[in-house]
Amino acid sequence: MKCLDIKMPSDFEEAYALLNSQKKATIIAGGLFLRLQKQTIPLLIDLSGLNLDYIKEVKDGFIVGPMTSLRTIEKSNLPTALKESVKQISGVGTRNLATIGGSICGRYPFSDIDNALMALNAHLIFYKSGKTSMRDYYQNGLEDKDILIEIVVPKPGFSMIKYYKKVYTDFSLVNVSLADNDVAIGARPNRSMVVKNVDLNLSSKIILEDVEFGTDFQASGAYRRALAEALLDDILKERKAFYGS
Amino acid sequence: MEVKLIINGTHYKFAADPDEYLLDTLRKLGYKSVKRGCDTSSCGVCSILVDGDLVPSCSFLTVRAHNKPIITVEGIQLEARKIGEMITAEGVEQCGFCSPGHVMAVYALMRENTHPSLNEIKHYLAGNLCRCSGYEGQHRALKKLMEVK
Repeated sequence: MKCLDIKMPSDFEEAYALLNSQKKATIIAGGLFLRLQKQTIPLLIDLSGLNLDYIKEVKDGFIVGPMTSLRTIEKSNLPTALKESVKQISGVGTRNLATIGGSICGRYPFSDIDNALMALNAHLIFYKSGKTSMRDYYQNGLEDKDILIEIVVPKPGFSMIKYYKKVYTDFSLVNVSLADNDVAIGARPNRSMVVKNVDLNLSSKIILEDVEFGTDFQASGAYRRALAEALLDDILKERKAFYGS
Repeated sequence: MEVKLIINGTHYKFAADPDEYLLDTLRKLGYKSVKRGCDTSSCGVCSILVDGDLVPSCSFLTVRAHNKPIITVEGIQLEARKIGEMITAEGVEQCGFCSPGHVMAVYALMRENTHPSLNEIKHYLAGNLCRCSGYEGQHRALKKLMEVK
């Protein structure tokens, strides 16, 4: 990436004006993926000065600032699926730099964090567009440029994520999250999808029978399906142990 | 853009390009312990501490380090020597290219967790690659250093 200018706004209004001042003006979160892109960005907008690095516990969930680092999430008391989702994302140094907002706005198909947030049915608050569900944003994005200002994460009764990586810290070949009765399956290798209101007494094979798994250079669709079924089996066993039945 | 950098306690005024990363800035200023490895924040070779956090300097924009304390191996020579001696005593060191980043990661771990388990050590250092050692000797050394039972 080449960047011609970088500005650190002092409030959202200034950030929004900067974002819309040039067609290719871009918000920088952790900046890790942005750095790897072969493009010239005329203006980077750094939100580091807006104090968006926080986790607040409220009655029925958590409010998370989009500049909260993955390492902070790893060490937090957020729902288990979200905490576990970040644990094998590169090393500690990278997790200190990468942010949850960057992972959400990247809408990455392989993302373990996005997968957990999809199962958890998190909601996103944008500066101009207001509230939208993670599930809707992840599938469709937004029509206009906007700034993610808050992430609302519900408190489920039980949540867990499992993923399979060829090497510790690698991208997942497949990831599966459960939050209460919703299952999210990602890295299929397409984007995460959600199976809602699942009867958890059914077998993982039946729960995942309508989910499509594709083939790429890393794994075949059949292999991904077998992995996803095994991972969901493990999650269901842990859920049974959690509830003691 | 002019930024104020505090590197190992020394203050600098530095004119940084908007897309300049700390790895390049630090090497320009003579901190040659900071090495360029993968240059994609995957290998941990360029690890330093910014504001107390371990980060890959290859991916940390210099302008974002304005007024924040930066620590490299040059700034923790006593601790680095202790860690280095434990590692070399186990016969681990070969090319040594990953050592500065590895030492910074061990230093960061020791600040965060004074009595880690072996699994916690492995988890913390998973982002620091070494292509010579196979890690067994490093783990032996760090178990001794951190008195892991």
